[in-house]
Amino acid sequence: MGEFTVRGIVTDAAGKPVDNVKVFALDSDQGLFEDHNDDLLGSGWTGPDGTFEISFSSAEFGEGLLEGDVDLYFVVRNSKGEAIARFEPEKDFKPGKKSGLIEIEIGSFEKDSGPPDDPYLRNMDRTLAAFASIGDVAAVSNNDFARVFALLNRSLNAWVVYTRENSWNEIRYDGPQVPARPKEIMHNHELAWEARKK
Amino acid sequence: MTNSIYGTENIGKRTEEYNVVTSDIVRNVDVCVIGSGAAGAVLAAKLAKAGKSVVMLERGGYYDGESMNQREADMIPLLWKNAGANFTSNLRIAIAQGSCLGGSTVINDAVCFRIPELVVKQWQDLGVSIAKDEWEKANDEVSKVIHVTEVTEDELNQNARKLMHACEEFKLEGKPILHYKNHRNCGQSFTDSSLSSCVKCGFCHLGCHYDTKQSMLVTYIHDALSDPSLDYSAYCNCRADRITYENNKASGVDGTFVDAAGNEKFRIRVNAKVVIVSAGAIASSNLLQKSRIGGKNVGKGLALHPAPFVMGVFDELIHGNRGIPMSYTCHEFGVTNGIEKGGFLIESIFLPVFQMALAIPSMGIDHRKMMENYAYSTMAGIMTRDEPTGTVLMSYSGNPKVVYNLSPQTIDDMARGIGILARMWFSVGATSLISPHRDMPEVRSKADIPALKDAVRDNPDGLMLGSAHPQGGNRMGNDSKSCVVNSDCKVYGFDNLYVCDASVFPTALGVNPQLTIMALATITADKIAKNWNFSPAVNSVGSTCDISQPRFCGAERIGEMFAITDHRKDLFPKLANSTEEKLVVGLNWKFDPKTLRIYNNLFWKGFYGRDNDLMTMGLRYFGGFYKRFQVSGDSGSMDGITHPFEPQLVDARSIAKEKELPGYGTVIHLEYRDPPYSTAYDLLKMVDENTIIGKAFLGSFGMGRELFNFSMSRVYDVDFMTEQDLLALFNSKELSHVPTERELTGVWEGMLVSDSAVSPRSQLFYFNYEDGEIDMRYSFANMLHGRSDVAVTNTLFRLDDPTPFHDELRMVTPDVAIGRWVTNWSSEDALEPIIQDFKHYLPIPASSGTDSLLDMLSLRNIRGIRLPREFGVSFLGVEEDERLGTRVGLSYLIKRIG
Repeated sequence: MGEFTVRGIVTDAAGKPVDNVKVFALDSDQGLFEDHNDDLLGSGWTGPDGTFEISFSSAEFGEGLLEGDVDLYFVVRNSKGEAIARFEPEKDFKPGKKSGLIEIEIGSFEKDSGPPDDPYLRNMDRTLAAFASIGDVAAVSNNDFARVFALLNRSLNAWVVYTRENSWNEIRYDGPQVPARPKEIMHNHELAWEARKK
Repeated sequence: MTNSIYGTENIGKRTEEYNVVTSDIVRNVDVCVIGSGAAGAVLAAKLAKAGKSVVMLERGGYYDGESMNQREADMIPLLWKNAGANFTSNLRIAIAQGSCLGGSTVINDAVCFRIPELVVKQWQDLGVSIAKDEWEKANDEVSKVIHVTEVTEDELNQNARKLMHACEEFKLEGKPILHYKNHRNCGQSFTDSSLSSCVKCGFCHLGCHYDTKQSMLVTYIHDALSDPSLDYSAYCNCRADRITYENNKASGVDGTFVDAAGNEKFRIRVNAKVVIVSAGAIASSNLLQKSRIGGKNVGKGLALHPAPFVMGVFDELIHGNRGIPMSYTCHEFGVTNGIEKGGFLIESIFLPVFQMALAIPSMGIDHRKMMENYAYSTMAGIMTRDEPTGTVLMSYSGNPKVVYNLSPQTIDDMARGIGILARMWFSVGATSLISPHRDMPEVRSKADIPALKDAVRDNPDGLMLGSAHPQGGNRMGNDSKSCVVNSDCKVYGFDNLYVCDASVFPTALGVNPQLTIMALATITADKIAKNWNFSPAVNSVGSTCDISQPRFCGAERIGEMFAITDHRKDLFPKLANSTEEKLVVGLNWKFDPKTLRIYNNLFWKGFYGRDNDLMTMGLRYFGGFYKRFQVSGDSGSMDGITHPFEPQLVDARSIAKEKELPGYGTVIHLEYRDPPYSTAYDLLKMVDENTIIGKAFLGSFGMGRELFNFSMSRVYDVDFMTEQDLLALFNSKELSHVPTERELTGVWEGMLVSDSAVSPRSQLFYFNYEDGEIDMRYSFANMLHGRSDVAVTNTLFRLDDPTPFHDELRMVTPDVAIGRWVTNWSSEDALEPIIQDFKHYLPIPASSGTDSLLDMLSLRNIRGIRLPREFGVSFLGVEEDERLGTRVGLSYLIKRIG
């Protein structure tokens, strides 16, 4: 048993204990005068009741000249090794020495997928990949230049001119009936020309 | 496992339960369905309801109704296959297919026709044993689920009314013609209770924002997801790469999760008792071809329902885009009116503005003038029932290549249809027409119609054509010699593999096909459920990341596995490699032709992550390494040595000892003894007797900074073979042999053998054996093409091309061969010019006559020429033989793909 012991419990968002995940205790060394290489202090699996225990000594974190007390944080990994939670205790938390045992609750089990992407954002990637595959399958020798040129010209023209809202009025095209970002903007489901009739 | 949709895109909250895929996946299920369209969705839902565990794989993404913003620039790339740029190989016909969860049913115009009786009879005559009442029962069931109803009078928009009036005016030899309102699958929205039927926005092609179009997404898929008693999962952004099988039993599917650009993110392995291919015409044939299933019949007999259009221009506002795009059809000239061969339907349709701009066959000012008539125009299409003369081939990169030419019958039908429709528009007041022919884009009077028809017949290449109904390619029938599947949609030669979608149609249907596809899927699902007698699949992890095969893992995953895996202390003595330093087949080196795996105990082969970032790729190609261990005098430790495969500049000696390290548990500490390597160390964990995962650190033991993660193995697939492995196979009479011409007949794909990495496909070989002679063509990197002369002796199968190099081939299994592309064995004089040539191209020069330490380490004195052992990129090599001399070249592995 080392000089310090940390005990805790891992629960999910509903407060239920989580079994069979591994908790890693680390010392953050990201301070200005520290070596920016966090120290892995110890690890332990949770049992059926969700509890874990990790022991470590000051030798694990005190190696730097300017390192003082441990700057503790925890990372929880599932049985596949994926990091599913990170927990930082309160600023005034200190692990116990020999007889000091502290209970820590690590909260949400939800894995953070990051902020959501715009669904339309990568359409250029999709379109470029599509054109690359045309190049792979098109029998260029079978095509006459006039046809290919006309196709490209028409495609480019259609894209540049007729996907823009300012060209729609000129040809009396009603255009879309919902906002460009329908999930972000409240809207009704009434068609403009039906509304005008009323 | 909850019923859910899974995908790689993280685009926030959606209507259905959705989870982002964050790692490779292995699933063991009863049924794997490939494709989520009109067939796949029905099959998956019905079999799940029959109590089977089901996984459905879908290439496209999942987008709910609320994501569909009715903008073509946004929605076409999201929902349409190939972002809408899907053409026949001659670029003459644009093929519209969906690639999203729900398939083409998400982007179609919701038109529902039952399979015509005439077609049922024709198919029966062609060997399809499905009775009329089976079709009726299935159609009834589907029509109820997707709420098929007839369009009402007030739902007809101006465009449809114009066509209706035109049909009423038109007389054929004095008699009225057959025309009526369509049936459609629209109904109550499940997301907006105020909407009980079609909103009539006109944006069917861009997905239904209102969830009133009863596509697969809002019916079969939604129903299955909503039933918690079902075991049902849909994996989106997932490309099915190949169906695996042994003898006549399919074992499952290997797939790849891709991002928007088609780059690999994760992998999936589905082990299934039954595999059903429902990827749609073209894609289903392509998958069978990639999996080498079905033989020469796959891809044949493709039909497209190619459709030209004619627009009428009026003085009055029509606003054809407002309302239901396709609600009325003239049946007089089609199969629904008993036309047995060919024929066509005239269908009202109106396109949103971008698609319309693409369809008009003119350019510049003429095009602009025609587009200015957008709101004053009507439009209808002539959907021809074409002959199934098309073929789906596979391109160099494995993409489907559609070769299709119009038959004389279809050209004639188009000319007639265009002429009739042109007359119709004039008859209801059109002042001019826009035609689909580039030689005559504008038609100003009825008198010009004959010239338009002549233009179509004389120059059909001038037509703008679209296809929304590709069919055929995997023909159904009772003749196993000419068909791919039987009447149960089961693939000939297999017990548990099915193809069920439009690709099995033996002829073009002649009407919009979605209802027929769903009906066929219903019939097939019922048959599969009723006759369920399939044995469990063998559990395999395929090429997914797993602790048993970390060479298939990304770098980060290796690190994650390292964090939670315990080192097997009992295996430490087995860290030692063979004491014999030379490769001895059967002693320290073995090959299993069944699994295509190599056991190599000369060393532990190192693997980096499979990530495709530049640094990891660089490490893979240029930083490949191996480690070799021997028991040292000090029991409890081992002496090790680390070598790179490429220039032999590193010779890092180490000591391996088991130690306890906080946070990691027991690990093997690999301490490097000599500078400059002593500033680094590795931590290893033995996973099993032949698998190690490791981390490299810079610094002092226990406090070092992590550099990278890696794995090592003594067992690896033939794809990972080194040049030494290849030479062992090549030189072993037991493990390889000189192939005969017949044995090599077929198509083979090849990859260069790199000691360090698995290289991508770089060549294709085509061997054609005919009338006692073999013809060989090659394609290298899809840039160099040519023919090689073939010479076969008892000891050598040799291919000579125009270069100073030649190929030598040996066969390992009927589907795997190895080759060397080498110079002749030669003396220094003959080799010198070749080496001079290489100096121009290679990043690491082959030097001669230098005395630097670097050269002494890296060069070998071979008959007076100082050559680096490995030079250039990681798959070039020098081979030497005391008797024969020296030769340079590269090695490759080829696998049969056809």
